[in-house]
Amino acid sequence: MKEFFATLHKEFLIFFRDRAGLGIVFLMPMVLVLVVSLVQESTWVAIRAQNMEVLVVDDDGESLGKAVVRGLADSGLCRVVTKISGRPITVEDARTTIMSGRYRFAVIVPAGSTRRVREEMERATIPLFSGEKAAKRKVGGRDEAPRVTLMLAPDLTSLFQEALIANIRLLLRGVEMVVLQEEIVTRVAGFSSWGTGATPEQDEEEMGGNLVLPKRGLVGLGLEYPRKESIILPSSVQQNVPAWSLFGMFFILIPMAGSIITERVQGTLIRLYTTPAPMKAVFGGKIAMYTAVCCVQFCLMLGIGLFVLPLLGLPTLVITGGAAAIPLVVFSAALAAVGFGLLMGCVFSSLMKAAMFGAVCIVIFAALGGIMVPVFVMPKMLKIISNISPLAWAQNAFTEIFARGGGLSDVWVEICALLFFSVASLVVAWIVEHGKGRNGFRAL
Amino acid sequence: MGPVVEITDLKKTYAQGTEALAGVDLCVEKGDTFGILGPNGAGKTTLISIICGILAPFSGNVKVFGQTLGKGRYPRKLVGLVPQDIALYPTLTARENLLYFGRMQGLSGRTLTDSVKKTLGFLGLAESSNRRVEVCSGGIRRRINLSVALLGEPQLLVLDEPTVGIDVQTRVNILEKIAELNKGGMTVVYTSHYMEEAQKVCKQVAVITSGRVLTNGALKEVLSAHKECGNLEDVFLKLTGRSLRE
Repeated sequence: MKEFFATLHKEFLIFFRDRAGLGIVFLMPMVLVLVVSLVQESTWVAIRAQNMEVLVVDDDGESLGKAVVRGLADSGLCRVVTKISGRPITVEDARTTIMSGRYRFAVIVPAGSTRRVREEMERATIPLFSGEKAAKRKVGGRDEAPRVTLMLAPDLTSLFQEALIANIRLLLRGVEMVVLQEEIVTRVAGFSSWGTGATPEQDEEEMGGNLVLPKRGLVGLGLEYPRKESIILPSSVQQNVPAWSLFGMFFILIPMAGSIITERVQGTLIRLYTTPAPMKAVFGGKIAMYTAVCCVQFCLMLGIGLFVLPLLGLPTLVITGGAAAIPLVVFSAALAAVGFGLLMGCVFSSLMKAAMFGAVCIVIFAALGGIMVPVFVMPKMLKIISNISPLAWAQNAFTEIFARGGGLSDVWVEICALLFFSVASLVVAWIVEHGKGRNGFRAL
Repeated sequence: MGPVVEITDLKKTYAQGTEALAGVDLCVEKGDTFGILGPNGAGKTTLISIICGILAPFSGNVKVFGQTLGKGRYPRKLVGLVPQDIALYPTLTARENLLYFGRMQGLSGRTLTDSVKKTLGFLGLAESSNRRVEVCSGGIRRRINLSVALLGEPQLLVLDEPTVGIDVQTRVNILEKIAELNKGGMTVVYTSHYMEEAQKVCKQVAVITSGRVLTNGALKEVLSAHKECGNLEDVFLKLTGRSLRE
């Protein structure tokens, strides 16, 4: 027992005398909690704070169209955009801007929708006043029913789509009720007197029994995914496999940093510094090895999406975009992760510190990069910050390829950014290593 | 031909403010077995790290094979370092380690395999060559550690406490091998805590403490300058004191 307490005391002293270690243990999780909380909260705050923009194509121009615009604006769900470059948005405009990724969704109210709603209302409310049995007056078929279309970008997560569809349905029900109320008021005004002698309960029973509205509402909701012909409808597999593969790939920085630190601790790195071998060979070999590991890691993940997930009843991952761009994105993302790992290995003196700092950094990068929550729902400030996350660049590139059917011409900026990050990490790593005087007079 | 190592007024202070070397002057001639002796924290490892070109910056002047450090290329092929720690990859075998470091020394093909074979044979490691380092005994690891430095057949061999933590047999074996190498013309710079060992091996010695050279010269001269001391250990204790070090 004495040994136990002696050890406990020793560990306590070592731990609390290590300022950098303390910072990593306490400050980094705080930063993580802060960032993740902000990002998670932002999903809802963004909706409430009208952070997202929705295109509304009001070809109807009457009560339904106006009610939809007003309803969306009042709901706090998003900020309504009805004009682009000063002119009203057409359906084709909406399709093009959503395909380009500039906007994520649009609500289309077709021409004549209000008229058709009125017709439906009329058919639904006639029994209230004529006394005819509702069963005989079935509301018109769905084909004739007014239909509002919701256009969704293919890269919207399925969870977000469901939330959005539910919100729009709720909004439409509200709009229907307003129109229904107006219709009833109009009709009631036409009667000189109720004077039937019936009790209010009887009136209600009579009216309710005769009013037949479709369970799913009068206004139907259609979905459209504007996309290039090659693109399949979005699914969680299509979004999650590339995103989380990327997340996993970046964890390569821990073994990479570990390799540098272990070699330094073992003395093998010092020994290598005494050899005539160029250091670019020593570090280049490591970088190549771990980059290759990363690429293999991604291939395995891709294999899971293509072959394993369908066995579990999930949709198959489909490579819709330019397949040639995928290896380039994977390679540049791997290089960025490995470069960052090398930097961690040069900055930190112990594996524990490098591993903790590195892991937390990945989670922060992932949270900012849209791996956990889509970037477009984040508040403006976080959207700006997310631009510094290499995971965001890689995720954007994958979204372009996997969800929007993009090719190399669509992702070259992201590839360049990842390669630049990698080179910058390597340069800083070298400066750190050189600055610590570990490599003597060696030059690359 | 000039000295193999020539050091003038060498000073080194670490970033934390620790003064490791405070004006060291030394000269190692070709064919010497030069012992750098000192208690813990004396600055021995700092000194040989600078000699081997793996630690910078510093002030003063250091020349290795006539090349001033910091100006021009360091003569790496001529210098072999045996670090104090077992600087090997534990999950590789002895042969794999030697092959890797041999390649990093610039050896290849037949030259490399011959060099590995010769070195393993020289240090009696042939039988252990295919065992992973992590499963080898401390003595074998020490010998593998030495063998890596010999691969490129350097002209200057720098050993940082090469006999720490091993049994008497292995120690004697290593010291014999060092003497053999020196006899073959290799210059040896050697740090140790073991004075008896240094007295057997070294022709020249320098005693340093707190980054300063207390005495420096041929072993015989150092011993005769302190006639009252019976051996090198007594000289060492007389010069460095008996108080415990940090």
